[in-house]
Amino acid sequence: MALSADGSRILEFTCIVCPMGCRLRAILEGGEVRSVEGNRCPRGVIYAQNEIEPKRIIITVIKVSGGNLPVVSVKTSEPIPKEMIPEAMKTLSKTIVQAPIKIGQIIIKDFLGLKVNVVATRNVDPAQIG
Amino acid sequence: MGGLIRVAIIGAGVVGASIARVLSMFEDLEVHLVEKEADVGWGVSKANTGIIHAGYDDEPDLYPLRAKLCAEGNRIWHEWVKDLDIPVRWCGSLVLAFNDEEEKILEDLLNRGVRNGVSNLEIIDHERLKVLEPNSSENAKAALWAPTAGQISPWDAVIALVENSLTNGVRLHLSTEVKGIKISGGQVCGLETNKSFLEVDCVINAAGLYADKISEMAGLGGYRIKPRKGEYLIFDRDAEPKVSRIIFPTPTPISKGVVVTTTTDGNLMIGPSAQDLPENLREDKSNTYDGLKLVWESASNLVKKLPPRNKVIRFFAGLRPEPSGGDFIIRDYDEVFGFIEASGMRSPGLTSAPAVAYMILEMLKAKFDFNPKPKAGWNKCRRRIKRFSEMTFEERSKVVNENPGYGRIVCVDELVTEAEIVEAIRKGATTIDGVKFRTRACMGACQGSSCMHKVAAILARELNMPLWMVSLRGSGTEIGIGDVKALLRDKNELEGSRRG
Amino acid sequence: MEENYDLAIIGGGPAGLASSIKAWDLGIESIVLFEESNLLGGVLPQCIHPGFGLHYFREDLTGPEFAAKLIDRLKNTGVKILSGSYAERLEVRSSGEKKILGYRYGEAFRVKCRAVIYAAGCRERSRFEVNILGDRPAGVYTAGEAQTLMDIYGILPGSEIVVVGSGDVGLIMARRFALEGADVKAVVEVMPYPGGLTRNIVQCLEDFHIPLYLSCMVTEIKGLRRVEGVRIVKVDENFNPIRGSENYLKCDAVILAVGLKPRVDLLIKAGALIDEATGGPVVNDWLETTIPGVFAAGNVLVINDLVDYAAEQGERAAESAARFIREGLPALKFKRVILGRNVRLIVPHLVSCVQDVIFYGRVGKPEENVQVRFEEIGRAFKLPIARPSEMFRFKVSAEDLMKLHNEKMTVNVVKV
Repeated sequence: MALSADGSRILEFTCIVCPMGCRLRAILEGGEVRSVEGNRCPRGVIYAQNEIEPKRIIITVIKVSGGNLPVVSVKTSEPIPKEMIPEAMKTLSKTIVQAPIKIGQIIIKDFLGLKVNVVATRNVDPAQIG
Repeated sequence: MGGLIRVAIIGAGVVGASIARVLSMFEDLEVHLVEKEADVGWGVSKANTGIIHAGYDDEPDLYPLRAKLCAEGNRIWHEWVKDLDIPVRWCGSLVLAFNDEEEKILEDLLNRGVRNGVSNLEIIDHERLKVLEPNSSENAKAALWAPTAGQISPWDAVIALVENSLTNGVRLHLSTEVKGIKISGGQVCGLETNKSFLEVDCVINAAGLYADKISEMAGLGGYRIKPRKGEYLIFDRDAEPKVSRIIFPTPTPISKGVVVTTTTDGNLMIGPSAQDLPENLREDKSNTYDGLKLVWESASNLVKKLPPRNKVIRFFAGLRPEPSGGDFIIRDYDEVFGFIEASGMRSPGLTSAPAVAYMILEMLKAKFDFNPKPKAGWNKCRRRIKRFSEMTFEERSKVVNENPGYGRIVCVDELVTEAEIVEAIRKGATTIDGVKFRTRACMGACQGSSCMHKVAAILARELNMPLWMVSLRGSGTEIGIGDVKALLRDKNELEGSRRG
Repeated sequence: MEENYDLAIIGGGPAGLASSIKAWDLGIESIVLFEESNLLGGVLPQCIHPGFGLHYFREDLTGPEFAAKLIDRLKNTGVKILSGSYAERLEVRSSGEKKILGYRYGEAFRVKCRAVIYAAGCRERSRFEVNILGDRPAGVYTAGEAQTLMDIYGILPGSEIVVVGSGDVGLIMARRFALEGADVKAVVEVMPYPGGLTRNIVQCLEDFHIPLYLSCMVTEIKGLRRVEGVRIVKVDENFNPIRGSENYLKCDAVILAVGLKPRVDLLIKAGALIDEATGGPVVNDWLETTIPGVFAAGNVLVINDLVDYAAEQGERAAESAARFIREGLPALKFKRVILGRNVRLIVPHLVSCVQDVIFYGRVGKPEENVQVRFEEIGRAFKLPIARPSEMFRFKVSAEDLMKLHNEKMTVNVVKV
């Protein structure tokens, strides 16, 4: 973070939206993003805005009961604030979901009150009996 | 003395297992084979060159037991491998001489071999050497050719001996560590172990690297065992060039030197180095830069060419139990009746094992003044798990029809099927290494990165245990520390209890 | 089972799946797909993170979602899908007829076919292949193996982790462990620069405060029964250890992300020529190996960075196989592609010069502001940042290739 001549702050970081990894410069005024440089596509601007309050998609597995696999892979439908990750992981460590599970199925709605869903990313069939 | 004699053999390595087999041939002997690891043969027996030596190496005036029992053991192995279905290559061995002094030593070895009762030894010239071993070094001037030597799979040998022993009534106690030996009135009466007390009349010490500690427990301990580390490198099965015979350098007084050989499974193997370790480091089987470098350089001298370094799929190390005095310690004692040593089994321990077993039998008979009857129905035969990889396509079609699990390939590199793995588990494997040594799963180029988890899943299913508790080689080597949420859950619980 | 097919595809990962679908769409009706696992998708079902399909589906998908799209599509075709089936051997008769011998639960099979697409993927290198000495305790895993244990079987391989290798696989596993509550001590990288994408350095390491040790090597693992720690040392430009820079990291699991090797055993036994640089088969611009009618695609052909490329190669192989089956491939004189300055590997190795070709390659050393130049035809592509860990992919048109009059075409990476 640097101060420019007119008192606005400059934040430099790397965009992670796609594999290009553009080096961005965001110029902030009063805590708001006034402009962004260095991005090769418009998603960089959105990313810069998000970096002020960084967010991440959570990727993990949660336990399954009655399935042909013991865990199902899940993701959050939208990124959540980075600092909520530990709490999110703790909550998900207690979650058990019943097979069958379809890709896209919502496992937890409005996760942690963040208006974001936890969604299955893998199909799980019921366990074969016998 | 009449009636039943209860015998405990400490150590299910090749020596202990050979003794168990021989003792199992008789009535009136109740034989217990006691092993501290989770499976058999995991000490010295699984990490050595696997050579059945011809028997010219050991000077009878210096090491009379080694000299006598090696040549005798060699002869017995020729029969045992057939009865027990143990993979072996009777390829013979060559000791190479590169100069006149070494040629003189070959003469000494030849004479010594004849004295020890070894047959068909010959000193051959460079031309004949090239015919017997095309990959032998151009610089070798002559060689000692010993056609009776062979390459065996040492862990296969132990597993075979134990299976046959079990068939014939021997009782196996795994994960059972001897903590003390109870002596009463100058006589052995039993073993204190980490499990229960085992009441026996005779204890045979075949405890390998820890034999001196066991001997001390009996109040004896008149010798020390020092570990000598030997490092090895193993090449991929398709790595060329290999060798068709076992190639030795001219020996020094300390060691037979670094060997180049092809294992019974077709992998070129080089080693061992010889590094004496401090007495207290009996678990140091680490591979070192210097050790592997020495092995590579020494091996390179023996052959025209080694395969490229990037064809090495594994390196490992083993420890030899070097006894003070250098010779095997095979004896009993007046002061402690019933305690018999079969220790200090450094090279040629593997070769001598069957002969040691018969010698121990005689010692037992003499000590207990007893002539046991041969056991009716004693079965000399044992068959190993049929290997899918060794069958033709037609044979494979047939076995797959009979046992559908043969159609599920678990280890792709070695072509090991689920049926073989299940059979290994039924035969006593409870760990990944147990399955590995009985089937060759995880022994290929990938070294388990693609197949270990599949083997683990089969173990978990067959033994009805949680997957994370399946171990590589017993307690403390579990493949996981819990289910994937184990750490997060513990944190939950910790925090929950803190909040009260 | 003894059956006849027009086309056999070996490998049900992204390359194999994509090629099956494409071959069907092109009208080949008699197709069989062999996959050794019971699950289709290859390594995708365990790659639970996003970043897949940005090119191929124009969506940011997780691995299992990418696989599911292909599998759903495949299930709507008439391709015979044989999962749990291992193709062990390929026999090629002089007539060109191919036989695949293999096994599945309860049967050994011999299948005849006219063309084969080999998409068997790759395996991971072990600690022995990168000379990590010391003890051989429990707790040493390759990254993919750890990923399988965690994200397919749901078990945790360790609680204090050291990751060897900073390629994307290593970085992603570092994050996986950190997310599940493990203490990731470090990612150790022998090069002076990280191997993976910058976005992964940020999301996997910086987010979790995991140190990245560059120009460092793990020399030894210590541990009696289970891993207790690793010895690491700093290295100089020639990868020689710098004396006095040794350090010890306590840990109970070592995760190795130290390279992938194409699984080419079946091809070697069948007589195909292998390229030392890629570790995969030598192919022409039909993606045909040196065995006529046997094609290769995906990680077995060349280790790909993006699953999109594997799928694309699968489709290309399918186009070629379809043509081979229908009318045969034209007998043409192939020109060799030569590795020039700073090109470590490139695929395909031979060009016919009658069609567009997509080249996949890697530089040997990192450079900036370079061009990848196909010299004899005067065609160049800009590459602002060239890294060995980031594959370049360029399409050269038939028109340009027809300008090639020499026997060979040199590819150079040069500074602008």
